[in-house]
Amino acid sequence: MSMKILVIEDDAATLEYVAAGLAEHGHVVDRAADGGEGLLLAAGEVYDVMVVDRRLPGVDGLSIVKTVRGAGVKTPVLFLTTMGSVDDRVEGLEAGGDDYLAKPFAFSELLARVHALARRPPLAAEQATLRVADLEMDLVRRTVSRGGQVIDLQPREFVLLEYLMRNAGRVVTRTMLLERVWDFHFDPKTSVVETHISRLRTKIDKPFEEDLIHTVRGAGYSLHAPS
Amino acid sequence: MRLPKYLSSTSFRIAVAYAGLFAASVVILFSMAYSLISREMEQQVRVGVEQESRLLDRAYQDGGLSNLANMIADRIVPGGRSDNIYLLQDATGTVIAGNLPSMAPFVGWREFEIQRPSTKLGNGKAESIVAVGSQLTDGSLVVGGSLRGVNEVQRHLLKTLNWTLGLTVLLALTGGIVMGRAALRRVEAISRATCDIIRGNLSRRVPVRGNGDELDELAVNINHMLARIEILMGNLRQVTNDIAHDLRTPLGRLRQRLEKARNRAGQCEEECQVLDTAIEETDAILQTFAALLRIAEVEAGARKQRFTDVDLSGLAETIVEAYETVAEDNGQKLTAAIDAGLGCRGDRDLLTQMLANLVENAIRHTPSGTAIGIKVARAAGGVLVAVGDDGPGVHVADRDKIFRRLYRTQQSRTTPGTGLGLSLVKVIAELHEATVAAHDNQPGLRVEVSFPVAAMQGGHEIV
Repeated sequence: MSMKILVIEDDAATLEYVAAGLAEHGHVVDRAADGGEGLLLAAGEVYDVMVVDRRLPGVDGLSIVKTVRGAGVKTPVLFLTTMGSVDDRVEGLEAGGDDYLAKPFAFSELLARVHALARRPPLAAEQATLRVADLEMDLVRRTVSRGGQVIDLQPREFVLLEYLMRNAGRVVTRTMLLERVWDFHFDPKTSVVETHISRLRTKIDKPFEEDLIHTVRGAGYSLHAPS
Repeated sequence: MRLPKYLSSTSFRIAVAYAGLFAASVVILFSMAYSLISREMEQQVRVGVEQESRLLDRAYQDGGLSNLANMIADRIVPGGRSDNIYLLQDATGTVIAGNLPSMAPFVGWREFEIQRPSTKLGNGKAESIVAVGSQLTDGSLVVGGSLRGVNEVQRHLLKTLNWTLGLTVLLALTGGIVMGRAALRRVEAISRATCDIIRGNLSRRVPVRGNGDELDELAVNINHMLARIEILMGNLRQVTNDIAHDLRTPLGRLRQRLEKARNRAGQCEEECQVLDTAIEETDAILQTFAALLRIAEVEAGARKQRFTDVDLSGLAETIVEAYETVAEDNGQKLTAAIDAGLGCRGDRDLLTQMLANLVENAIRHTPSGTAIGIKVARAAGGVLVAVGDDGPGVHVADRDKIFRRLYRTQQSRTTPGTGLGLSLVKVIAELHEATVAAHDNQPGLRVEVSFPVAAMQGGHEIV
């Protein structure tokens, strides 16, 4: 699915890297190299996602997002920053940002987050059951079954699988999982995510013929029906 | 038991010293007055005695012993006004007249004590006498005066001295305490402000009264210093951020280029491996950088302003849940002894990272088969968080060094890592006013983080 994305970034190399990368993946990208230009575009056009640098000449990223949010624009915003500290993250989220990515980053990380933002289901349409192929998750009774066979999951495994299923077909990165499943906002030096994914696989995939959890090399994981 | 604070204050101690000094000068002044007055009064008694002696001597010259005896008898009638003493003895030593028992005759001045019965003049107590003796041709005469008046004045003087001394000390101390407390209140205000600043509120200033006294001058100077520190801290943050921006940006671009090259290379053997390694190494540099920046940021203390109530027990449970499978895959066992409902004021993200770093440190630096334990318990007045293992441990000489930046022990040099994990633990603990220490777990290493009562305020128990 092609999306219309606005990238506001003053560093020419990063702007080029992000914009070209997104375009390569089939998205329409508008570029803005300073705050003023960015604010004009953000307020005037309709986008699916906006990628905004926190540090900008002219109007800074935080003010841009505050302004457009004030004007009722609900477009998901991904903040980029160099500082990469929690204070920045909290400030960004308070100003109306939806996600946060510290520079430098791997493009796959940015792409995964942009995709996750764009297709975030509206809250009103909260489903009671998630379904991917023959895997079923009952969010009310907190049960999981595959092919009619009930699978017993630990609470955290349930959260992990739920996040994978809500983003079925998309790549979720290790960092995204750490943030959303464990609320860890740092880079662990051990294989926390890998270990838990591996446990989940032995329960979800191993007893069955087709694998649903796939490793995406250099990016993360993706849960989808066998193609 | 603690003394009231002002008792240990400088101003109070100065007040005590001054009270002592005042007391000493009062004592000196008094003793000078005392001896002067005593001497003068005694002199007067002596002059009286001498005149009397001369008078009697003349009477003796005029009328001999009998005349003298009559004169003395007249002088010592009971109820007489004079309290002089007389003793007239003949050559054999028999008392002819007088109010003294017989004594060996003497010539010249002599001082002695007598006891007179309780009458108008005597009170039955020992009485000091100053007397002059003279030899007559057929007898001897002693004429003396009482020093009772002198002694009484001396007693009064001493009593007055006691009073004055007490009053002086009392006044000096009261004044000292009152003034000391006033000064102390201002010093305390300065102290409170600086404590606040130490906790990270750099914009706080010391109150200034505006009356231009020394304390005000001190306050103004402290405020100047604080303004300077604030600027320096700002500069530091600026520099840190600039480094982050200026060095991480080119490093980031380098990473971007490597990534692009890697993608373009597609499926290939050797070049791809080289590129993959290069990307990994760039990431490692960036990680070290991020860790250093994070330590600097935590040290700056600005995060204190975002402190909330953190459930340490719940946090530890999450960490155990996340890491027990990691340990298991490593052939280790992670166990927990977590008392429920313990918390503190703090930064949730940082405390999570602190606990994770401690557990990861144990996982990464101990061999398979090691048991790792995490403990959260109430300790003397606070909360104790400890992570211990029964692995090879850390040599006692290294135990304090492991918290140093980029420090790695001989054994751990080969394991990948930034050497910043425990440094970050330390600065995070310090931000929360907690202390960190490495202990011998017999065998193995145990790192303990003790949160004091102060860190608990407002946090209390989280149910």
